[in-house]
Amino acid sequence: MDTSSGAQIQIRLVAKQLKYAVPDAPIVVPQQLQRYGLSEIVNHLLGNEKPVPFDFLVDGQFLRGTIATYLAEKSLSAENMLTLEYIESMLPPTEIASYSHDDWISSVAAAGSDRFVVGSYDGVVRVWNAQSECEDELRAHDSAVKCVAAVRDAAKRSKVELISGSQDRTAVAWGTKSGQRKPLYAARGHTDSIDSVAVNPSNTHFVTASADSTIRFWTLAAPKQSEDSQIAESAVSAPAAKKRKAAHLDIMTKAAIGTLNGHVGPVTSVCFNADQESQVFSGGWDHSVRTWDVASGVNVATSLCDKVVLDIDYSMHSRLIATGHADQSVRLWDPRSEDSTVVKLRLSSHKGFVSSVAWAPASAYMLASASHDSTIKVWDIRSRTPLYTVHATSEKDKGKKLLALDWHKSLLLAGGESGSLRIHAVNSQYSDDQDRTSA
Amino acid sequence: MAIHSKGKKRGTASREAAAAAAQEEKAAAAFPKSKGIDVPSDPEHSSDDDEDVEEGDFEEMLKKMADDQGIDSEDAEDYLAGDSLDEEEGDEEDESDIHSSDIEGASSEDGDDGSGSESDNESGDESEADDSILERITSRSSDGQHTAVDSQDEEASEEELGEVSMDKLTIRDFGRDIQGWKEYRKTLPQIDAGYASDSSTEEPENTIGSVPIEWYEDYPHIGYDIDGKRIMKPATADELDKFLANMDDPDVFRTARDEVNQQDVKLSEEEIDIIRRIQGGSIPDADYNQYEDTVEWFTSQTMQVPLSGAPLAKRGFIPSKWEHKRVMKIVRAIRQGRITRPSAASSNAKPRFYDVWEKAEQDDDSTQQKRLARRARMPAPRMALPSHDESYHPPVEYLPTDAERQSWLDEEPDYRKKNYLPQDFGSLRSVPGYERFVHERFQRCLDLYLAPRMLKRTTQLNAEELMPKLPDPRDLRPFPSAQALVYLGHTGRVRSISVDPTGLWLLSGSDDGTVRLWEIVTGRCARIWDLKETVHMVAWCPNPDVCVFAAAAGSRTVIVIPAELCDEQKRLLSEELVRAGFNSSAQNEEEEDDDSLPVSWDMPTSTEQASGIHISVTMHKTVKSVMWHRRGDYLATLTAEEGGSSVLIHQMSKHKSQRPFRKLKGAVQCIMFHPTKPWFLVATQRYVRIYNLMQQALIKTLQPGVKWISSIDVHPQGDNVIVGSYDKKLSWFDLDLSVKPYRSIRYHQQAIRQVQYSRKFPLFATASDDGSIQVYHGMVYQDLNQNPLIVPLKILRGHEIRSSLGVLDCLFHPIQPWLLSSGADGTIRLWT
Repeated sequence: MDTSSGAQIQIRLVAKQLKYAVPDAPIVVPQQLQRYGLSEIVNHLLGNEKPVPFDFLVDGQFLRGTIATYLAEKSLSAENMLTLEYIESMLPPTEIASYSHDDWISSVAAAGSDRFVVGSYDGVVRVWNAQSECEDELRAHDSAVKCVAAVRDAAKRSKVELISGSQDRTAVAWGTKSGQRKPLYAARGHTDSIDSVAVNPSNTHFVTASADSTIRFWTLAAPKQSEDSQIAESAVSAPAAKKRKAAHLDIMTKAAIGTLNGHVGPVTSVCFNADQESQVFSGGWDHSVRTWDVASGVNVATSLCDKVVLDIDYSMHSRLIATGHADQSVRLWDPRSEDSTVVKLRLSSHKGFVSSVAWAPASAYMLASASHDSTIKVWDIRSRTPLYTVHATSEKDKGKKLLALDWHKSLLLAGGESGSLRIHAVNSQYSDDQDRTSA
Repeated sequence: MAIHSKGKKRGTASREAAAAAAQEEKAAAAFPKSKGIDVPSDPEHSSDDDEDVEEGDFEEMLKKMADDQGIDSEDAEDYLAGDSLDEEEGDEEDESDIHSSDIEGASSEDGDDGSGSESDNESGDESEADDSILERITSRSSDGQHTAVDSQDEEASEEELGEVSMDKLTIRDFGRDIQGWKEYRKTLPQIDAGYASDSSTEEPENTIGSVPIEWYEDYPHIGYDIDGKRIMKPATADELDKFLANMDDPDVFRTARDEVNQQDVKLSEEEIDIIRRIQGGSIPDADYNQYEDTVEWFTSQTMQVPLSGAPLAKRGFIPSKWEHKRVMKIVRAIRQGRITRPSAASSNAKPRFYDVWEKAEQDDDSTQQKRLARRARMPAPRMALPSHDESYHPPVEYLPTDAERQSWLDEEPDYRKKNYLPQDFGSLRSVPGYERFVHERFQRCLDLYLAPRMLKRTTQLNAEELMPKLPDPRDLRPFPSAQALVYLGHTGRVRSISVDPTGLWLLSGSDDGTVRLWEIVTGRCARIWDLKETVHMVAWCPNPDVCVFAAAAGSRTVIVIPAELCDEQKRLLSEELVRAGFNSSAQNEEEEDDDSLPVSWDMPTSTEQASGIHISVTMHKTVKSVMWHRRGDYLATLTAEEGGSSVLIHQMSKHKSQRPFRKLKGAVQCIMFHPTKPWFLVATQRYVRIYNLMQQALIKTLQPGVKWISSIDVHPQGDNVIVGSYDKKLSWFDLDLSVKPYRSIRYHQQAIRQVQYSRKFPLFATASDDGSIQVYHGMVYQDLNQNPLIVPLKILRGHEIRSSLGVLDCLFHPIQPWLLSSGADGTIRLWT
């Protein structure tokens, strides 16, 4: 230790989680302390027998490195008192299961903590339960399944449990009929591969984004009868329709209730605004992040960066949009801001395309991203560096691209080129409910 | 001025009467009354008026003139004052004359006496007259101060004036009536002072004045006292008495006879001394030192600032009258128009001498600077400072040894390194004069005078400065800079890649006999077609309405519709395009046969049909290249054979093949449709020929100057062509400019395999056998005057070199600034 190790600073420890509150008296600590040392102090103050790891925030940013380096970076005086907010730190995600598939996984969705839907490039949608059993293999698509969406709390409004979109230009809604999952209807209308599907929070509608540069808006409820005629009218000549009917005679056709035209290239992803159900965000190859009003079908706002948007997700807690990009970075946007070009934050640590992003369902700060570099990174947006980088554990997964990611409660699901659905447990203790109420 | 005018008025008034009388007499004498000529009733009035008028005119004129000349009005008044003073002098003389004539019985010799008597006459308003006289005197005296007159006479008259003033004063003090005073004087008794003063006890003085005493010799009196009484001559002693007296008197020698006062005067010692001195011919004053030291009040030496006690001459501070007259003359001349301004024509007249440098100084700064630099003094070269061995007492090590001294002496004087030998004199005192001093100075002067000197300018060049100024690559974003994805699967060399018009799908053809379809963004291989033979070329149909590609496998060209990529409408259109020809080809079979082209359009086998292969066009030789026309109906193929039938153009909709060239010189390396014009480019080993397919004529032959062309590409705007060659050279042609390359670039270490323009961004890339891809910024401006800007941006390395083959094909993504490349290592790589 050098001479500066003797330098000390007065700090005040603040906690928003009431159960971890410590007396609000300033204490003097060495400047050389890092997170671990501070955490020990807090545990000591709390008198915890089993130490709880804490993370420390200074001025809304995570403390990385020593206090001294922080002071030097911000050119702050060591004379003043430093207020440190501490929160229970998140434990590194641990891989708890891996479900193997024959083909590439294109999409994953958790229908609940014990039921996972996986769309695969072999055109099959598989439903897994927590006991690593494949409950169902749903086959209705001619081509690779590109996206799946689970309808949580399904039974209440409609029978639809999950929706899958495919390269065969259809999205199929699946529901349980007489104890068996069956396709309820096929949403037809897109002229190119459906790359993304999203269900609105109140489970009444869903949107699909397609490579034909359109976004279509559908009701979730199953149609009383096939709405083929509209499709036939719109585009397809009779023999082709016949042929298709022959292929999927038992599946009813559903027509879109609205089309959002505006993107000038393939639309890669779409998501609902959880706070405002008529609003939809989308991103595509034209480097734009667009906000749509689905009721009127109007492109409300367009934000541009100069990289292809591969995935988009909206957090109702932080009210931010996270996008994954082809330039190996994650960008955060504020959809409410008027300035259309300002990226609020750019997180770059990945070594490949960021194929998928997912906000933590219960946090305003946590975010996960999956990339072609086969890693999942968990971010706290108060820190520019990722909290954790989850590398592939099995030899099979190493170096394989990750294409899909979903975060449901304390589970982080990811799948990709290797065909294995990686399920990670995220620190379940960690929750910033307290933060949210205070915010 | 007021005083002056007052006096003058009075003068004129007094003048009037006398002048009138004289005038009348004159008139009566000159003009007999019988003649009846009208005499001006009041001639002097008129004349006086005239004078006034004239004077007024003059004053006015002066003022005008002053205005004209821009002189201040004050100055003008000064002028006037000066003039009026001058005039006044004249007036004064006139006045005195008149006065003298006025006063009867008074002597006319002195005007001042006259004026005194005038005051006698005008005793009625005495005080007023006195005042006026006083005023006049004061004014005159003040005038006198102003008018510094040089002549002695005037000074004298001024003194008299002063006396007069004294008289006047006494007269006034004493009171008054002169007549009364005279009477009073007569009645007064003889003054007797009655006190014992020296002067009063003396004999009454003889007051005859300076009358020669001889005149009184015959008279009993000798003169008159103050009362006019005779002073009688005293009785004179006879000669004997005189003698006796003289004998008695010891002071006789110093006694002189005062004849005027008729008394003896005893001379004092001093007076005797003076007489003695005079008799001796020396200076009478004993105290006078005639050899006194000179005090140089005015030095003989010229002082820098001369001290002069002389008063400043009047002309030094009054405006010159003559100058004024000259100015007036000019002013008059100007008014009368005798002097005019120089006319404009004369000013525009040609200068006598032509200014050679006028233009040069105006327009060319640099030449002027050059001339200045030339004119600048060039300093003489400095003489070298003396070194240690030139010291009179150098350290021992500087002193030459005998051998050195001998060798120095043996050397020719001109070849000696130094023209001196170090010497030790011990002390500065013993140093002799330098014998060569004058000679060396002379030589140096000769050098300086005769040897031309010039400033030597050294130019310092850096390698960086010689480089052309190029923009920073960071400003030219976006361009592909890093590898993003690797598409793995092929087991042989990937010879060709192609991206579909939407930019989502990638086709690759490989030596392993397969054509693979890749999803670009994920790297997923979506489909494999096994064609069993080496696939040389794959090419998507550029028509966005259909979803068709052509692949050249061996001697076959197959047309494939990848069914899973297209929706119903697109598939129908594609199938329509592909199959339409079967009917027409059946009809035209005979014609084709006539053509005897080595081509057969076949239906593929059913298994192949199931995999989406719809047509198979078989030729005799290996198909090396397949190129679509931009509309997607025509397809050009190049086979590995010599002669005209190597290049064929196929029409998809009619299943018809044509041979555009009967003969072709050399082996054709590559072919290409022009992107905007109905042109067709054929590259042989050395040349690129551009044909117009409509007119069926050769338009241009590009000469890249390379030995073996490998690839060509045409800029999407159609005016520029890049040509890559196996001898590592890339040539950029501007079709409007020349058939010679606009720029040749040789950066690759190995043969260039492929050159590609980006369809959307100002980029182009070259792929080479050295395993690298070089990305360039190639901006073509709309302005035809501006040459294309070529900036090397990035070298992309990643492909492995297998059997000396590196990157075989490269291709820009149609929408994004991405680059795809395929190599001999069986990989396809995406660079973003």
